[in-house]
Formats: sequence, C-alpha cells, structure tokens
Amino acid sequence: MKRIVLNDKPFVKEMETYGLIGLVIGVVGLGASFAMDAHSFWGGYLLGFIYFMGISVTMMFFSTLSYLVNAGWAVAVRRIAELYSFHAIWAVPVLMLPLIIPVLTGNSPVYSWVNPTDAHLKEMLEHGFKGVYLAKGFFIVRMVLYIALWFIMNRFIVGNSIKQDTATDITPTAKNWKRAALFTIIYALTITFISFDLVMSLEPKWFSTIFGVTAFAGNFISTCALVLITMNALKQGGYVKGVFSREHYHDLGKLMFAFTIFWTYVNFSQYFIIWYANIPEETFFYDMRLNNGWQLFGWGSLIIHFVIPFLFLIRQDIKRTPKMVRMGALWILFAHFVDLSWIILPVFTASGGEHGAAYHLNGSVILAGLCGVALNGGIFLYIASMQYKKYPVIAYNDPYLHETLEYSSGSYDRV
Amino acid sequence: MKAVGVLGNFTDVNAIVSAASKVNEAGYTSWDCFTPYPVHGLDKAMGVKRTILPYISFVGGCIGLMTAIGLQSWTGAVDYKLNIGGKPLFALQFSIPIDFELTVLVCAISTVVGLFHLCKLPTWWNPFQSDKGFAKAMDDEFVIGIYANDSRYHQENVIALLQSAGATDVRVVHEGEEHN
Amino acid sequence: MQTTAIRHEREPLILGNPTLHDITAKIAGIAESKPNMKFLTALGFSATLMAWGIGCILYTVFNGIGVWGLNNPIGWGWDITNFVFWVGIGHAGTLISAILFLFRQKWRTAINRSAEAMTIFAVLNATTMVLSHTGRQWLFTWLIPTPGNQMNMWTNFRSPLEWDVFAVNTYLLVSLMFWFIGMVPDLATMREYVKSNIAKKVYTIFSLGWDGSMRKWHHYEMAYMILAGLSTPLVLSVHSVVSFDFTVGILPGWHTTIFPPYFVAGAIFSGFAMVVTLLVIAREILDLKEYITLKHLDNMNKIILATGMMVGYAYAMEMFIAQYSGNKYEGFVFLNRATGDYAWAYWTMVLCNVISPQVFWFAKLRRSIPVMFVISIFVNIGMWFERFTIISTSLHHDFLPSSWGYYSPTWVEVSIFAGTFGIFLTLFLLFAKFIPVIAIAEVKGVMPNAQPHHHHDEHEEH
Repeated sequence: MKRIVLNDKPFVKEMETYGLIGLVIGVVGLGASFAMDAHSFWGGYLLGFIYFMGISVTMMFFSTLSYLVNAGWAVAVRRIAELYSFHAIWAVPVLMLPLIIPVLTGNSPVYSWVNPTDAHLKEMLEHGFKGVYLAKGFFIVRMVLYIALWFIMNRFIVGNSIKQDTATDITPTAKNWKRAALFTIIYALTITFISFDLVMSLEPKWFSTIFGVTAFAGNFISTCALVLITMNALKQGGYVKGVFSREHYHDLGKLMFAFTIFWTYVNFSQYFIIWYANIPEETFFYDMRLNNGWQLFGWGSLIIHFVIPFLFLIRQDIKRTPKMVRMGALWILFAHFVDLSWIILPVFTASGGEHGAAYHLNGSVILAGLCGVALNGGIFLYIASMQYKKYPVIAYNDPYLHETLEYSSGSYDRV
Repeated sequence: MKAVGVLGNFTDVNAIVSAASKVNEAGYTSWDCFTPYPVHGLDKAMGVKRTILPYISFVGGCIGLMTAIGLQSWTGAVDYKLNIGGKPLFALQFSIPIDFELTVLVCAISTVVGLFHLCKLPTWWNPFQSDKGFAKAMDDEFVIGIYANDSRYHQENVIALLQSAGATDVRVVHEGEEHN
Repeated sequence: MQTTAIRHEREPLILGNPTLHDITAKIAGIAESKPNMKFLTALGFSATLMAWGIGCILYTVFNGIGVWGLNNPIGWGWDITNFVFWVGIGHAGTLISAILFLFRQKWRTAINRSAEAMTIFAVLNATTMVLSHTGRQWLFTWLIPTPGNQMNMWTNFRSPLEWDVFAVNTYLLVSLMFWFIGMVPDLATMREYVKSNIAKKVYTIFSLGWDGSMRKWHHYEMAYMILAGLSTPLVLSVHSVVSFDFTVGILPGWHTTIFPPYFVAGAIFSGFAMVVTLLVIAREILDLKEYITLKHLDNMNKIILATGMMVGYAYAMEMFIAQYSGNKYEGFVFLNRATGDYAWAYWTMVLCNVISPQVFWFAKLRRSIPVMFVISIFVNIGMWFERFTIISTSLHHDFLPSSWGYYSPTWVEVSIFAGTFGIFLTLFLLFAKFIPVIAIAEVKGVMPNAQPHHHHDEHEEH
C-alpha cells in the first residue's frame, strides 16, 4: 500500500473552495441577521457552532472506537475521520468565545440563567445544586476543560495514528489500543456535559437524564454520513484505488441505519416517558416545541430523521450502491440540521412574556440557522482541507490494513 | 429398479463451487448441492434465484402492525370505553410498545412459516438417503446430486460430467437400495 | 493482492486446528457419552433446588402472596426484582446471536448456542416470577386480550404492565424460534452421528428432514438474517418496556428518561456475566477448551467492562440530574439511596457493578479463569442489587413521611428465588447433554479455508 498524500489535487482545492464559499455566505448572512434580528442571529450562530463542534469531536471518537473494537474494516476509513477532527482544537476554542464571554460579563443574549428574569428560575438558582452547577466561573472552567481534553485526545489518538505511518513497528498503534478505552470515556463525558451546558441549559428549568445520549446519537450518525461522503469523493476522484469497496459502503451504511434506529429509540424514550407521566415541569419542553409552527420541525424530524432514512437504508442493495448510499448520507446531514434546529432554535423565537410565553416559528431564525451552519461548515472544511493537503488519506501502515484490503478483494469470509 | 439420480462427493470446498457452476452451465435444473454448512457463493454458482422470503416477512410485519393498532383502538375506544387515569381512550403514543412487539412477533412467525414452506420442511426423507455417502454432507464432505427426473438426464453424461468436475466416488443411486 | 509492510494477525477462533469431522465428533459426541458422576451430581442438586422452588411457588398459590414480606409502601419486592433480574440475564444470548451476527463478529459462533439457551431459560424464569406475583395466578388468561373476561372488559392497553405481557412473550417466542431454526442443521448432523435407535428417531423428528441442500441453505440464511434483524430491536425493546413499568409513573427515582437504554446496558452486562460464569464451568466439564477459548472469554469480559461503564454512566447521570433538576423529591430520593436505610444495597451495587469490573482493564486478568469467575458472580450480585435498590428505595420513602416503611423478604421469597436458579441450571444441564452445545454448522463455516477463495475480479464493482 502506497502513501497517498493529496497535496493540491482537485479534491483539496474543492474542499478549500467550498470552505471559503461557506465562510462568505455565513459571514454575510449572519451579519445581515445580526443587523435585522439579534435573537435570530444568536440562534443561528449557536446552531452552527453545535453542529460542527459535535461532528468534529465525534470524528475523534470514530477513530478511538475503531481502535477500541479492533475493527479491521474501519482501518480504511479511519484516517478520513481523523483529518476532520482538527476543527475541534483549532476552530472550536475561538468560535466558542462569542458564546462564553457574555456569560462571563453577566449579560448573555443566549443563556437566560446568566441573568434570570423569571422569579421561579431565580429561586432555583439561588437554592440548591442548579445554581452551583450553572455558576459563571464553574461554567468557564468546564469549557476550558473540554477544550483541553479534546486537545489531548487529538494529540494522543490522532497524532499517534499519524505516527504509525512512518513507524517501523506497531508501537504507536499498540499504544492507541491501550489508550482508546480511556479516551472513549473522556469523549462520553465531554459530549454529555457540553450538551448539558450549551444546549440543555437553553431551557434552564428543564432536565432529562438521557439528553447526553440523544446528543451523542445525532452526532455519531452525522459523523458516519460525512465519512461516507468523503470516502465516496476520494474513490470517485480516483485518488485511492483498491482500498474502498462496496463492503465499506455497506458497513458505513449499516452503521448509519443502526444509529438512525438508535437515535429514534433514545428520542422516543425521552418523549414517551415525559408524555406519559405528564408532569408540567418536563412537558413544557415538548409542549412549546410542538405548537406555533414548531411542530413542523418536531413531527417533521420524526419523518426526516427516522421514517425516510429507515425505509431507504433498510435495503441491502441501496447500502451497497455508492450513489444511493451517498444520497442517504447527505439526507442524514440535513436531518441532523432539522433535529438540532428543533432543539435549539425555538428558544430564540420566544414571545409573550413569562407566563404566556410561546415559541413562534419564523423564517428569519431558520435562515440564520442555515447561515450559522454555512459559517461553521466553511471553517470546518477549510481546516480539513489543510489536513488533507498534509497527511496521507489512508492509514497505509496500519497493522490491520491488510485485513481491510483482503476484505475489499472479497476473500474476507463473512459469517 | 428405478434410478433416483447420480451423486458425487467432494472434499474440497473450491472444487464443489466450480463443479456447481459446470452443472449449472450444462443446463440441468433438477439437481442440488448438499453441504454441512452454507458455502458462500455456492448458491450463486448454482444459479439459485434470490429468495422471496423477505417479502413474506414484510407482509407478516404489516399484518402484525395493523392487528396491534386495530386491537388497541377498537377495544379501548370503541368496544368498551373506560376512563383510566384520565388517559385518552386511544392514542398512538401509548400504543407504540405493543405495536412494535406484535409487528416483530408476526413478522418472525411469518419468516419461520415462510422458511418451512420454501424449504418444504418438514420432509422427513430424501430420495438419496439410502446412500451412505450422502450422509457425509452432514459431516465433512460436499455432495452434488443430479436427479433422474431432470429433462436432460442421461446417466452416462451425468456421470461423465461429475467425474470431469473432480467428484470422487460418482455413483448411481437406486430406489430403496442400501448403498455404500 | 497488495500486502502492507506491517501486519498483525489475529488469534485463531478455534484452537488445535481440528478437521470438519473432528468438530462433528467432538460436539455430537457429547450426547453419545455416558453422563459422568459430576454431571449427575450437578443435575441432582439443581433438580432438588428446582423442586423446592416450585414447592414454594405452589405454597404461595395456595396461601396467597401474604406469605411474602411485602407491605404497604413496598408493594413490589423480590418478586419484581427477580423478574427484572432474569429478563436481564436473557439479553446476552440475543445480543450474541443477533447483534454480533449482524456485525460479523465471527467469535460468536462458539458461544451463541449456549447463550441463546440461557436466554430462553432465563425468560422462562422471569415469566414464572411475574406470574407468581399476580395474586390469583389461575386467572392468567386475563392478561391476554380475550373476549369474555370479567364483565366483558378488555385488558388495559394503557398500562405498562400489559405492554410487559406482550414484550416478554414476544421475546420468549422469537428467541425460541431463532434458537430452534439455528439448531435444525445441527440436529440433522446429530441424526447421522448418533448410534442409538431412540436418539436417532428423536433427532430425526426434530431435524425436520434437513439434508444440507444448498437451495434450502439459501432460504435458511436469509431467514436467519431476518430473525437476527428482528431480534436486535426486540432485545432493545424488551428491557425498555420493562423499564417503562417504572418510568411512566411519576415516582421520583423511577421516572427518569435514561432508564430504557440504561436498563438495556445493565441487562447485557448481567447477561454476559452469567454467560461467563456458566461457560467457565461448561468448558471445563465438557472439555471444550479448544472451542470456547480464552479469546472468547476475553471478548466477553471486554463487553462486561464496556457495559459496566455504561451502567456507571447512568448512575452518574441519575445522581447528577436529580440534583440539577431542582426538584427536591428527586434530590432526596437519590441522596437517600446513598445514605438512607438501603445504603448498604446501593453501595453493594456500586462496588459490584462499577468498581469490580475495573480489573478487566488488564489483559492478564481478563484472561484469568479464577478472576473472571469471581468478577462475573460479583456482577450478577451487583445487578440483582441494582434492581432491588431501584424498587425498594423509591417505594419505602414516598411522598408522605407518615407512610414510610422498610421491607425484608420471608423464607418463601428467598426459596422461590433460589428455586429459579434450580430451574435455570437444570434446564441448562439437560441442554448441554442432549443438544449440540456449540453451533456445529456455524463453527465449520468460519474455520480457515472453510469458504471458497474468491478471485479479485469477481467482486469488482459493475
């Protein structure tokens, strides 16, 4: 297996161009949104930030997981994920600043718990653990901690994987086999708590123990989708020969399919338990998101994030047809947008004061959301293009790569 | 005594796959391979058409789902209305657990029934069973059997074909005869 | 084919490089051999335990569940604890047979048959437990929607307990079908292998005339895949529905959204622990060390570690959110778990479920038979206490301090629980003797060189 570095092949150029286009659209769009309606702007900004923060961190988890379970087939696509993870350590710390600096100065346009106007919330924050957890100082400490842990994760797991490229024995990989478990735990905790901190606390009175798991499910499925789309682009561009086969499309397709069901399962669990018990302190979350237009996104995500991908990806022939399964992957990235919009954006459409508060769906917040995704996506792609320029796109020296190659050639026997 | 057909044993798994494609290419239709475990690609080499079993399962699943929704809505909201805990008489939300379970149950049952039908199970006999070497297919050998009722069946041709394909111990099996 | 500079080869799945015939002779031979003293002693012991347990169930049926220690705030005790415990044990079998099948984990082939058997026996025990607690057990048909029940009423489909009836029975039936379908080719192998006439007749009947026809294998493989595909969401659903028994109510400590996946993870955790406990013994007694290798046990211990961490994650989330929620009842229940009357049960649970599996971080300990045996038993104790903690702590201190209470079981409940182990072990021993304990056809199919070698061009895209 040869070392394949793309340098300035069209693949990298395109990625760069798309990145810059996204960046321009994002800056212009969000700028306009800020000028017209600051509420929408903040919603869009947060949505875009969460979308690619989640994916880039989960890309590291994809790598960690494939070390942890020693999956032979995943070796071929592992590097694709690893090269996407640099967004988490280069862009996320900077993009996070507009969200956390206002928390520090005590007047956040995003998080109502920073300067609560709601008397009940004020009381909850003054007495008990909620106020301790959502204290400004502690909040900032946690953000710094997440970034630091991701930085270490990137250096250790991704860095070691790249080290294996030039190694003469399997020491770097063997180290990763050992470290993978620890970093899986770190991933699980960071992605859970950052979703509590940045997303769940948008509704500071609401709480759900499964929230971290639902966040993980959405991130993981979109990560698989993006890996598949990139793998397809590399294969169709003719940059990598004899590594990716139908089996890889099939396997990533199966992962997407399985995690569509998992996403539905955990979201259903949350919805169902809250619906049936019908306690006002929990149900308001759904009540406000399933009225005044937002039901379009709420029930829509059931169709978009479950019914359609489920019926589409259930077929084996579709999972094995690159064009089709790539379409499914693109659809899943869209579905993830709908899902996150429904969770994040309604808060930024609040009207009607404390008691009669309601969330009214409006076009400007959705446009801002799209611009937020364009901005963050642009930065995400641009940073990725820098990595694709530099590093080999296949972990060509991995001790299990021979399995993935035999697998491609069909001699890998299946159970 | 009437002949049932011709059997040939193989010990190598690659040999039976290439032999199977030869028999298939020769145009025989009433024949089969007998193996101790499913051999990948052998069905393709034999020219077996893709099974319709998934469609049977799918229909079963649909029936299960409709039964579940019908049962819960009719008993709760039509036949015997009873207010329990202020919950709605019927709602899709609370019906989901049973909708799911019955879909899976009926789907699984129809898969098994479909399998029995497609494989004609149980059939407690096989025309070749009098042959001792035939049982080796349950252990460690691979057997090709071409039935005498095939329209192209000519004993000598069939024997020659199997021998040329590399079968050991090619023999004709007759009805009711104990063979070694 | 291209080769890479650095290669790492995996351990073989089956040791000693047996031929296909060796596999037949080894596994089918178990049924032929005369049962030894060890086996008969074990069978005698577990059958006695089973008889005692069944006796105590009958005692309960004739006297009513007043003979148990249940009291007013605590209406569920060992009965439901044991029910949840046994349903959970079943999950490993389905996970091994279905999910690992879909993910092409070849190592499952040596252990799936026995793990599936455990599933079925465990679910039978769960059904026994839940039926015994219904009070008037002879009216069990009222659980099933049949016309003409009392006052022509139907079952209450709004009740999570009714969902359980469907979930557990579906699980039992689908597992049975999956198990039996997987066994048919092996029973056919037994039919050809055994010498005794009676045995041959029995195996002939149950093997349904399977002849190894490739045309049948073609349908068979599809059926197996569909059943695996159905069992995968099913295994998630069963324990989720069991968790709904608790979560859809409003009781603090029961009503929490993470319960469904947390119950499933815990079920897999305890199920694998039980599989390890029994297989460590079985491979010893039946001399199957070459088939159920240290690699298999190592993999299962890894799953125990992983699911143990998930369970630990769920404990942490529950505790955290209970405090974060700002709801004082939630906050109290969780502090009470850790510091109240049942703190001993809570800390036993944490110690056994979260702390003890940590030794599996070390490859050496994962491969040590005595260590894994002890840990797997710890995990089972811990998982039993988890259910007990959930049930009793939320009930014994509810909203009204005037009705707080404490619960201890009577000898009848303890005996019934012991009896369920008797039922489980008796059935497992009989299974190990008369049914191919390892999936013969599947193991043959994953032996090196068992599958034809494909040429590169065959699989190119077109």
